[in-house]
Amino acid sequence: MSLLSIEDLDLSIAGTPILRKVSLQLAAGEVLGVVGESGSGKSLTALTVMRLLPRQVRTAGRVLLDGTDVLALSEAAMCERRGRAVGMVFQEPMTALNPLKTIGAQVAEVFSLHLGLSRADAERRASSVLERVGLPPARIPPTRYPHELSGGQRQRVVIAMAVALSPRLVIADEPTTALDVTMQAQILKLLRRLVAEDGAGLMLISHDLAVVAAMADRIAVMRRGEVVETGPGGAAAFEALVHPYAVALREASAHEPARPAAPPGEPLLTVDKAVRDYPLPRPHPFAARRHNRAVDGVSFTVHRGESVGLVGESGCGKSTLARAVLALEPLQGGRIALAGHDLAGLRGPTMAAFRRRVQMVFQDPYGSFDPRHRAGRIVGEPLRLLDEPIAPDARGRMVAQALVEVGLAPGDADKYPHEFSGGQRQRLAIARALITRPDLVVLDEPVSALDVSIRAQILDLLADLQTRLGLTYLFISHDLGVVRAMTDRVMVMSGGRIVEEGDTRTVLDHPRDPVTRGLVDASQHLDRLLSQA
Amino acid sequence: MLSFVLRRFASLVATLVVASAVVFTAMEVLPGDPAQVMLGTQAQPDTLAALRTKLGLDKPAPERYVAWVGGLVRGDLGTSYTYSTPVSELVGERLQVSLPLALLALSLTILVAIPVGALAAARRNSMTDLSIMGVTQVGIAVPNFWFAMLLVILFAITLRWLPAGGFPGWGNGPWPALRGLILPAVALALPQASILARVMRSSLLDTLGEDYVRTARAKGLSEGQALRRHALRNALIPVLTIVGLQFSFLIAGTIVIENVFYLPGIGRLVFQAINQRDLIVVKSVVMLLVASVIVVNFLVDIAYAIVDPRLRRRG
Amino acid sequence: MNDTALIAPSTGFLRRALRHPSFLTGAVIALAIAATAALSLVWTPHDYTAIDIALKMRSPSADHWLGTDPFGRDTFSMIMRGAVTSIAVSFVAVGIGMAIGVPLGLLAAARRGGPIDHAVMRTADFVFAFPALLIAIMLREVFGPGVTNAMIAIGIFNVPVFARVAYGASLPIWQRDFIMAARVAGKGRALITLEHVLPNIASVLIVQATIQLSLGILAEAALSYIGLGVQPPMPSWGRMLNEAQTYMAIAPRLALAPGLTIVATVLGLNLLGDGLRDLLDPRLARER
Repeated sequence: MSLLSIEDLDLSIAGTPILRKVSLQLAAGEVLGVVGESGSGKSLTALTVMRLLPRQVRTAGRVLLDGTDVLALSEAAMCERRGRAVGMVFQEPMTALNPLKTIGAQVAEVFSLHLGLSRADAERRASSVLERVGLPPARIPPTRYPHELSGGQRQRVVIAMAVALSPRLVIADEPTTALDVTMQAQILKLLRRLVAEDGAGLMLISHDLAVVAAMADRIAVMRRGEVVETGPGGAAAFEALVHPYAVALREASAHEPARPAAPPGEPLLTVDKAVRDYPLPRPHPFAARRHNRAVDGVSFTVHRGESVGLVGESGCGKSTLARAVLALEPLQGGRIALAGHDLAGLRGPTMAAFRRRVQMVFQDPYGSFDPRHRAGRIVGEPLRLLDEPIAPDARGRMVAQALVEVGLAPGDADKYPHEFSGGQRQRLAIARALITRPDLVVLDEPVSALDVSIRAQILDLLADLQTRLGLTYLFISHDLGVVRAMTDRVMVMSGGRIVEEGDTRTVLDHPRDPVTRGLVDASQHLDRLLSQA
Repeated sequence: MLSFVLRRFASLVATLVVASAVVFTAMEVLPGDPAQVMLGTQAQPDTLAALRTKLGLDKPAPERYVAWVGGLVRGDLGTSYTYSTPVSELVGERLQVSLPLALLALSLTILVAIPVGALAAARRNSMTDLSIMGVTQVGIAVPNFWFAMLLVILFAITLRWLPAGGFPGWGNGPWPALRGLILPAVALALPQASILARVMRSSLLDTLGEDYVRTARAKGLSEGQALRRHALRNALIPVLTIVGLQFSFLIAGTIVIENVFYLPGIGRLVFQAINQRDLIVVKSVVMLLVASVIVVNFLVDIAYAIVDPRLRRRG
Repeated sequence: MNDTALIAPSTGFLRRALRHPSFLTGAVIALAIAATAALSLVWTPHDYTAIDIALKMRSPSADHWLGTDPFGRDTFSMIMRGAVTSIAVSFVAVGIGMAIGVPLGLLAAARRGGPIDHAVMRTADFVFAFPALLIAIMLREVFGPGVTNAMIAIGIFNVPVFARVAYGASLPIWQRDFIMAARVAGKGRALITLEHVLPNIASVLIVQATIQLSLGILAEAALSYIGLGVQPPMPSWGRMLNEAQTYMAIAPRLALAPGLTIVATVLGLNLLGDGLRDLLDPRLARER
């Protein structure tokens, strides 16, 4: 008999059907990977097993846990099972812990609640569980508060609570999505080890096919509230997926747009020993002002027509560097120049001329549009940088042309941002960046907020535009797959410095610096790394 | 924690200094000569001049400011022109009415509002919630002095349970004095409790939607347990801010309410002093009220740090 | 989570507004009070200043709908005209608060972390320590009693409220990517504030203005009640309550009419504010 058996689960919220006839099986000791894009219903499926659904939700079908239909259980019986028979790990470790209670107390609560242990006993058990998830009390005392821990450490605390009573089933909903790649691998390994030790079943939910393939014994692909395909896990087996959507997902994640090699031209952007400091809050009013050095003596050159990648974990200084390159923030040392003109001296008309030549595409296209402005106004915004004010009809023509260039219709100019789909919005953002015919475009994680199936289209568009318009790209990303597909050269940043740079393939295939090696290991060969565990 | 308290204390002192300067300047530009007020319009110029020297009114303003602040720090608030008694004695006497009244009203507000607001949030969208929201909606709209009059009509004039006004003093034991303060305190508390209950409800609803409450539920806590053990304390943080702000409204309310009930408190003192142009009293009492608001907000800041470890450690 | 798709698509502000019970109730009450005030400028059933001792303390009748006061003045006419005082004071006070507070809040947010930010926000905190009543007392000492003092006192009290609200609502806007996009498009702080920040916080300001209007009406009533508001013979709801206090035992009716009017007005404005908040909620707006 399987540990968890979901049979023909239907779910609707306020009358709108969300899940249709979802059926999944999970045996003890098995890892089931559920993969799908956002909105596919995978999280709601998990919450149904926990019976932690919003109030307006109606369900039909059966969810058998060890043979008992949890949908038919009373709330009190369900409370007994949560934390004891099923543990759950959530996506957002930063907000998943109560900020006002120590981590020890939060883990201890599981023991006092389910086993009725005294406070001292519960805390002793909590310490040993924290140790088990890699938070030894000697290094991370249980008296710490969540805000004193890093994201990865907090996720370990959440995992500690989920596995504290060695439940038969652990559900992990995007447990590593909010974490850096190197941290991702560690957390996944930990989860797999823990469920293996306890002989429990693990339901791992992710939008990332690579993560699921590496971890799972079996994979279920969900789309629009339905399970479209189930198959065996593992790297080889994952190649066997046949459903057209599953195939599209797989191909999209490995998509490489055609980019004809262009000979690099003269130097366009030169960054020379750039330093960027942020003041830290003073510990007391009379303390000397201290600084956090986000960019620490970075030098590089980008040539005309090149596509250069900038990679690193979050907080490594890559976004700060991008803002400095865009002249949005001043440098505290060194210089940045565009075609020989120092950014520090730009004022009024020379600044406008600079902005015309350097534009940006943001990670979250929706957030980069004022929701109260229409698409035409948004795309035409940089036109104010032209030397001569342009007539409304000329402006309209330029906006229409820019829209057509990125594959939108001229009539889209009258729509509001929320009327576009995610992929269309990123096209809109690209149109805005290109309307002044810039030389250099800074792309800050341009596809990481997009669903995998849309990613490929946007990458194709970017590659095509670069060839046609002779653009130079500075491509910032944490996703090495995208960087490999889109860039000629790559720079790896860590702690505010560039630790390695060179030809993209050379660097990613033969990393020399430990940071690069860590990034490459964690992302490209997640499966291999996990198999070593 | 200590450095946090010290920093807040430094800013408290700075604020008090600025506040005293503002109050002093406002009173400086007032028309009317205190010496003239004390001696009447018929006074001889030389007696006037003599009194001005005696009161120190001939000295330059900065010197008088320093002297006034120095007096405030030592508890010497000067001598009232009209009562011919030290202002500190007058204030001390009046505080025996106003302070218990303000504290009673504040405790009533908190003791009623927090459970009621929490109940409404726990039973959201139920009849209980809807009735609480309806009653508090009206409670916010009621002027406290009018509500006071209604209370008097009902409980003093019609039912004769409680006195309609006046204050017997604490000399006859606490009960007669408390009886005189019940209606004023209820009148003061109603609008504030209505506001606070609504703040409590929405704050608790916000925290109930937080991820950590879901985590707690995943551990096996029931809805009620998750609310009590995890949501409640987090929900109290914004409530604290409002309590701090409400103290300032309460002070203003006390002044008005004392007029309805003829209570010999600070508020009545200010009014009599204004009408008699007793500037020393006005100046000192206004300063006292402003200072109390500032000090309460300082205490709220400290309370924050006690509730929230994120503030404590940051220092 | 996957809830974003669950929010029903918008069907136009007006259509949603007409289906919103609190908004509708509040709007009807507010309009009725405003219409009464406007009407009282040209017509009241009786002269609201006419003192006629022969008519004193009449009970409600066909001629005097709400009866007369101890001076023989018609209560209904006084309440009608009192609406003008209430509305004038609270509107002017909100005007003062917004005209000074909103630009200061926007400025502080645009200069976040700098000396201007600190100066503006610390001053706002400081002014908050002076309850409107104390400001009114000090103003009366300087300028003598009168309705202008009430307006200024409540207005001063409103300034830090609007400064804080404008500041608090602007900060998250400044963190949004579209502000950075605007900077990349060459816009300066002033232009960004005008074109992006202000329109995006307008709904928050409108909601706050309704709340401050209702607080202004309560404050005006309290100030008039203790004699710091509009002076006789101009009627005001607060002073009517003051005059009624002496006759509480024999004619509680005198206290009921103005009090209920205040409650209805404030209640209406609060319902209107709640309704507007629901209808303009930025969290829902994002999903529209």
